[in-house]
Amino acid sequence: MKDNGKFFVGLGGVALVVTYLIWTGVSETMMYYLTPVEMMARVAEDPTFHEVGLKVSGRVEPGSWTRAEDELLHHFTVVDLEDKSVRFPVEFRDMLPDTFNDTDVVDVVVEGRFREDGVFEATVVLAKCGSRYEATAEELLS
Amino acid sequence: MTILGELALWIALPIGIWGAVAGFVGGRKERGDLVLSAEHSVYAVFFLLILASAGIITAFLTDRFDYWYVANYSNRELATFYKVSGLWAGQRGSLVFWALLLSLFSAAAVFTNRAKNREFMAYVVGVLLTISSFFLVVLLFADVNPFERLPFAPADGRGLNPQLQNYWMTIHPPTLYLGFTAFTIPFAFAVSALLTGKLDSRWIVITRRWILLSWFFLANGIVFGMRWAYEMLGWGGYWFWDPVENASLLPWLTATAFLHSIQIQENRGMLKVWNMGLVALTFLLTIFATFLTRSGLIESVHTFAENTRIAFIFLGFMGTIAGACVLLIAWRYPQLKSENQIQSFLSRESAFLFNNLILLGAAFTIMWGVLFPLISEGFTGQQMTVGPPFFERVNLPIGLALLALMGIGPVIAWRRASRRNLVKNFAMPIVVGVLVVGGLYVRGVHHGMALVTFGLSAFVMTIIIVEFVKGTKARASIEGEGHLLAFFHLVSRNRRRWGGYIVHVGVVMIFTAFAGAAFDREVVQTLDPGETISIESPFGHEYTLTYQGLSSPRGENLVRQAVALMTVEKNGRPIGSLTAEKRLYVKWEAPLTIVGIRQTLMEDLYLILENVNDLSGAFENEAQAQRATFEVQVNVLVEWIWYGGFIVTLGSIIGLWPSRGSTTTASRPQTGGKRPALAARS
Amino acid sequence: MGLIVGVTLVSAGVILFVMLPVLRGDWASLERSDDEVTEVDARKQAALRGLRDAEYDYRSGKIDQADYQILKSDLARKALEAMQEEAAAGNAANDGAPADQAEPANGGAGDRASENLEAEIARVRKGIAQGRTCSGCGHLNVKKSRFCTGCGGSLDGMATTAGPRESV
Repeated sequence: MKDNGKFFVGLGGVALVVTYLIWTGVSETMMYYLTPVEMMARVAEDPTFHEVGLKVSGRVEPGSWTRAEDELLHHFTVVDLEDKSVRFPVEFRDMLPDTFNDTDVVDVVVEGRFREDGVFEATVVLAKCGSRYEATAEELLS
Repeated sequence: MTILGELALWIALPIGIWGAVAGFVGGRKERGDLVLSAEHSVYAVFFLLILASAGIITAFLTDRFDYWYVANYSNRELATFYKVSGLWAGQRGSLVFWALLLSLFSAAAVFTNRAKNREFMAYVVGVLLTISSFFLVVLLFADVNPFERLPFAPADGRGLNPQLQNYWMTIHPPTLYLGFTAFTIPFAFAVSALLTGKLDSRWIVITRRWILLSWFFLANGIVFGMRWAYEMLGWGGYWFWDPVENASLLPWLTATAFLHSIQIQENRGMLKVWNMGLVALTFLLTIFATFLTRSGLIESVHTFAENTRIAFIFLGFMGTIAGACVLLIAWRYPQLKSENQIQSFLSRESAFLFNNLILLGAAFTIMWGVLFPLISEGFTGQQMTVGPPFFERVNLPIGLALLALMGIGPVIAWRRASRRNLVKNFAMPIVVGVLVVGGLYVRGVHHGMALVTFGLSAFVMTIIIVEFVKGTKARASIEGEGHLLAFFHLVSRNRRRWGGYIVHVGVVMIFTAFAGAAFDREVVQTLDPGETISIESPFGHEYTLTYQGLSSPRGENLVRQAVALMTVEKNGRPIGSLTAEKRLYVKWEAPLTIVGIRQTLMEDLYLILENVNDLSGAFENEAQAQRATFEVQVNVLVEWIWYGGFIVTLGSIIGLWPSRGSTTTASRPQTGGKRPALAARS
Repeated sequence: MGLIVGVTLVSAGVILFVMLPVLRGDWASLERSDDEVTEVDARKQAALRGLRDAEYDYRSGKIDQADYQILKSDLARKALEAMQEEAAAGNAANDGAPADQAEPANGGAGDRASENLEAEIARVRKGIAQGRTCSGCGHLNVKKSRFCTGCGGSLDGMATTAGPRESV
C-alpha cells in the first residue's frame, strides 16, 4: 500500500502542527494563578515577574473602589483572603461586571500585569458576589 | 406530591440496578424474560423520574421553601415560568433533569426497537440502565439530593439569579442536555455491538439518526447559548471560552468527526476501531461536560458549587467507562480490521480522515486549555491558566483548515479522484475566492485573517452551489426528470449528503460572522441628557445617538430599574431609538445591565448603560441624577451567526427526516412468545 | 395516609410491571427477525449507494472515465454478489417458512434513501449481462453504441469488460 506512507506523514504533520500550536499558544499566553501573598513573594525574589501575565484571586477591600469622573477607569484594592495585611491597588479600564461592588463581600479574580510601581494593571476582572452562590441552612435562617 | 417524587428516586435506583443486571445477564444467558423485564425497567425508571421531576416542580410552584433547593432558587414573586425551569436552574435539579432526559431517550430507544434490532437490545438496555443508575446514585448519595429538607421553613426563598431570568433559560439548558443525553443511545448500541460481536456496520445504520439527533441538539444548544450571552451578558460578545462553554463544544466536535468518519465505514468498511473509539470518546465528553458544570472543579461563570465528593464519583465513573471501552475494543480488535485500505491520497475518505484529525486536534487543544490549570499544578505545583487569547490563537488556524476541507471534501470523489478533474473543479471556486478577497481589499478591508476567512468562505460556498447545480443536472439527465423535480429528488433521495451540504452553508456563514468581529468598533462616553455619542461604522456611515435621559418605571419582581433612552440617527437621518437599563432585583445586591440592540443584516448597534453616576437618585427619578456613562458598539456580521444557526438547523432536519418505508416493521408484536416456544427454537 | 397509599401503589405497580415478564415467562425476542436488513442487505445497499454516488461523481466531472469503469465494475460485482447471497438465503428461508413475505429483500426495514434501488439492481444486472441496456429507458442498444436510440441518453460508463478487481 504505497500511499499509507503518505498518510502517516499526513497524520504526523497534523499532530505536529497541533502540538506546535498548543506549545506556542501556552508559552505566549499562559498566566500564573496566584494568591496576593504568593504574588508578593514571587515579585520580591524575581523582578521579572512584573513582566509576565498573572491571574490573582482575592477580595475587594470595602470602600476602596473609585471611578474616574467621565472616564472608564476604575481603581480598587484587593486583599488576600487569608493574610489581610497583604493588599495591592488595581487599575482597570473597562466595564466592571454587574456583580462587582465594594460594599458586600466580593471575591475577585484579576488578570493582568503587576507593574513595577506596585499597581496591578488588570485586563480582566471577574467578580463572585457571595449572594450568587448557594446558601447553607444557617445562612438561609438569618 | 413532592414526597412521592423523593420516594420515586429511591424506588428508581433498585429498579434501575435490577434492570441493568437483568439486561446483561439476560443477554449473556439468552433469557428473553429477563431482557423483557429489563425493558420494562426502562419504562419504569422513566415513569419514576417523571414523578421525581414533577415533585420538584410542584415544590417550586407551591413555594415549599422548607426544601433547600427551592429556598435557594426561587422566591414567592418569581414568575411561574421560571419556577418550572427551576428544575434545571441549579446543580441538584439539573442532575434530575439529566436523568429524566436520559430515561426519556432510553424509553424511546426501547420502544422504537421493540420489534427490530432485537439482537442488540439486551446489552443496550443494560448499558442505558447502568448509566441511569449511576446518576441516581449520585443524586441520592453525593450530597446533591434536590429533596433535602431544611430544619425550618424560611418565609421566602432567595430568588433566582436575575441573569437566569431570561427566556433563554427555558430553552438553552434543556437543548444542550437533550444533545448530551441523546448520545448515550449510540454509545449503548456500540457497546452492545462489541459485546455481541455483531460488528458489521449495522449498529451504525441503526444509530446514525440518533447521532444526528444528538448533534442537532448540541449545535442548537451551543448557538442558543451564544445568543443568550450576546443578549444578556452585556459586553457584546457571544463566546467566552469559559470552561463550561468549552466542555459543551468538545462532544460537538467529536460528534461532528464521527458523523463524517461513519461514512467511511459505511462506504468503505474502514476505520472500525476509530469509530468505536469516537463513540466512546464523545459519550465520555458529554459526561465530562455535565461533570464540569456540576462539580466546580474548574472555575467558571457557569459552575454552581464546589463539591469534591461528586468530582471523585464522576471521575471514577468516567475512568471505569473509558477502561471498559478500551478493553472491549482490544478484545474485539481482530474483528474490527479494515475491509479495505485507502487507495489514494486524493480521495474523499482521505479528506474525511483529515477532517477527523483536525476536529480531534481542535477538541484536544480545547481540552488541554480547560485542564491546563490542573495539568500545570500536577507537574509543577504551580497553577497556571490560559484564557481566551490561547483558545483564539490556537483555534484560528485549525478553524481555517476545517473551512478549507469543507470545500475540498465534496469535490473529491470516493476512492480515487483524478488530478486533472480536481484542477478543473477547483479553478472556478478559487477564482471566486480570490476575486472576493481582491474586491474586499480594494474596498478597504485590510485585515489579513479576516480576508483569508472571507476568501475561503466564498470558495466553499461556490463549491457547494456548483455541487447542487451539477448534481441536479446529473440527476436530470440520469433519471430524465425536469430540473426542479431533479433538484427536489436529489435532496430528498439522499438527505444525509445534501442536508449535510446545507449544514455546511450555515457553518460557513458562522465562520464569516466570526471574521466580521475583527471590524467591531466601540466608543465610551459619559453624557448628560441632550448630549450625543457618534460612532462610525466600518461600512462608512455614521451613527449619532442622542441621550434623552433616564426614567424609572416599576416592573414585576423588580425593585428598581433605570431606563436610558437614546434616539438614533444614521448619517443624520433619524432611524429610531434604543434603550438600555440598570435593574436591581429583590434579594439580589448586584444590579443587572440590560443592553439595547439594533439588529441589521450586516451590523448590530449595541448600547450598554455602563454606569449611572447616582443610581439611587436615578431610581427616585431625580432630575439631577441623569448623568451616565455609555458604551456604544458596532458589531459587524453578528446576525450571520443566528442565520447560519438557522440554516444548520434546517440542514440537520433534512438529514433527520425519516425516509419513507423506514418504519415498515415497527408494528410487529414485541414478545417472541412464551418460554417453551423459544426454548425449542434456540 | 394518602401518601402511604400512593407510595405503596406506585411501588407495587412498578415492581409488578418490571417482574411480570419473569413471573409469567414472557420472552422478548433476542434474535434478528427475518424481514430486517441483514448484513448482506446492508452490503448490497452500500454498494448500490456507491454506484449511485460514483455515477454522480463521474457525471459532475470528479472522476476520470477509466477510474469510473473500474469503480463501477467493482461495486457492481459486490452488489451482485450480495444479491446472489441474499437470493440463496431467501430461498433457504422460504423453504423453511413458506408463509414469509415473498420478497424479503424488498420488505427490508433499513435505509430507503433511494426508492428505486430495485430498479438500479435491475439496471446493474442487465448492464453487466448485456452491456448496452439504456439506464434511462431500458431500451436495448447494439454493442458499442454511446447513446441510447430509445431515449437519446448517454450510455457511457456501462461496465462491460472490466473484470473483478481487488483493492490494492
